[in-house]
Amino acid sequence: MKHFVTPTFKGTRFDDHSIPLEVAKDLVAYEKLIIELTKHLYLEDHPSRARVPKGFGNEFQLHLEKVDPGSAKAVLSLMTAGSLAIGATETYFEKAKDLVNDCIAAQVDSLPAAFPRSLLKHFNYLGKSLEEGEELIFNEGTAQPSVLTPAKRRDLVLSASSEYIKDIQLKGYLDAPNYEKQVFTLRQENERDIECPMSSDFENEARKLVGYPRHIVSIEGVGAYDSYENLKHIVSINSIDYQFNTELSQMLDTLLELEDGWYGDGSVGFTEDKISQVATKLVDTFPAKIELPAVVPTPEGNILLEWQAPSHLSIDICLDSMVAELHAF
Amino acid sequence: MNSETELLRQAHPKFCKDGLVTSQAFYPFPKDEGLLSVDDGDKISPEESHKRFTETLGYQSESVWSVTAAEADVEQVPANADPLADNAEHCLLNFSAHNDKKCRKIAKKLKIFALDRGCRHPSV
Repeated sequence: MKHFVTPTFKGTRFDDHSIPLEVAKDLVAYEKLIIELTKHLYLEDHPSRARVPKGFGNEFQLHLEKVDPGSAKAVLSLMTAGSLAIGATETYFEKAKDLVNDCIAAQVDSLPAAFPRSLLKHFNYLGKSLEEGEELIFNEGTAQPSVLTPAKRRDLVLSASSEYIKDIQLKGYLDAPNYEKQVFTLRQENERDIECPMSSDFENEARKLVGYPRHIVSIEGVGAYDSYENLKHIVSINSIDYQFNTELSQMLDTLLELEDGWYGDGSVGFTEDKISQVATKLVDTFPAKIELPAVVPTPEGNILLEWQAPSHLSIDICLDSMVAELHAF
Repeated sequence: MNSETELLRQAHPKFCKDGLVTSQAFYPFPKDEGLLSVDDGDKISPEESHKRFTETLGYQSESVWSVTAAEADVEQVPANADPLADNAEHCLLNFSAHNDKKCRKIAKKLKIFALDRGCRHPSV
């Protein structure tokens, strides 16, 4: 092992001198950038070559040797033993490391000429896990530290591209699915509609959800944004979650805030067990064409469902007996 | 109190949805033995009633709604003055002659009267 670089993560997430696995992806992106930049530097030095020698870069493997305090210093070492022994290309890797540092340290309008613009896209991934207020510093303690922040990462990518990517969390309802193209439209409240990729194993669920604003779909993934912070398109989806009759579910969940005594002496609170019994029977199967009722707790610890419709229909649900009583005029 | 007197009822936030009161606000709590507290609207304004209920007595109320004494009579829950040391305007609607099912029906009727009249405080 030979020490290569010690990037330092700063921010509250790193205060206990550890690095979340999610953030470790940035180190993988760093390794990829170093390899690509090394290839570029080699070809610059060998203009007669159309491509790098076969296997070039294969010997470059960074290992996370340890995490030191301060906040969290990821000690990255180069494998130098056995079959992974690095050869004459080492100087190129060192040059690449210095050039990445220079690029991060520079103003975006005066990036090092030696750093190819085509590789700035790697900052889509290097630093993507950083949250606002966090920093990734590559040469801490030097006269000109290379400090990567979410804003700097964004600016670096946008200096060579019209879009940059970042993690997204979207909510809305599913509409206009195209099963052939495997896409659907997510209609968001107060945001513009966005087309989302749809995996084939989500098709059955999509058919149940389509067109119902009361069934909320939550998406986590990666989106491409322009310099005005407009989401242009979705790059990938990591997870899709959904909740039938979301508002009804939320109304039932809010009852869990009520503990014994919530309405004075003798009033009874609500427990997870009781609420989940009702939710199981009610939420997933609530008819789409019927307006959602008010979900009202009673001081006895039961639930009243009541509609402000002309018939003023209401249903008293006794949670102990799970018997419902319907009242209408 | 006369037949036109508005009887003011405080509505707990959990008894309202989208700014509208539900019948639960007019349903007596079993421990109160079928008696529902209201304030005499001839003697105290909805705003003052709300302020005393929330600030002086420390209870929760999202809004104040009302039914008249005549409406209470029609639904067979007559109103009677019941002055308290900390609430001289206190009155009671008496549901004690009715079973649970009938109480729910009456509470819904009172809610409809209250909704038709509109929220008394805060004014929309």
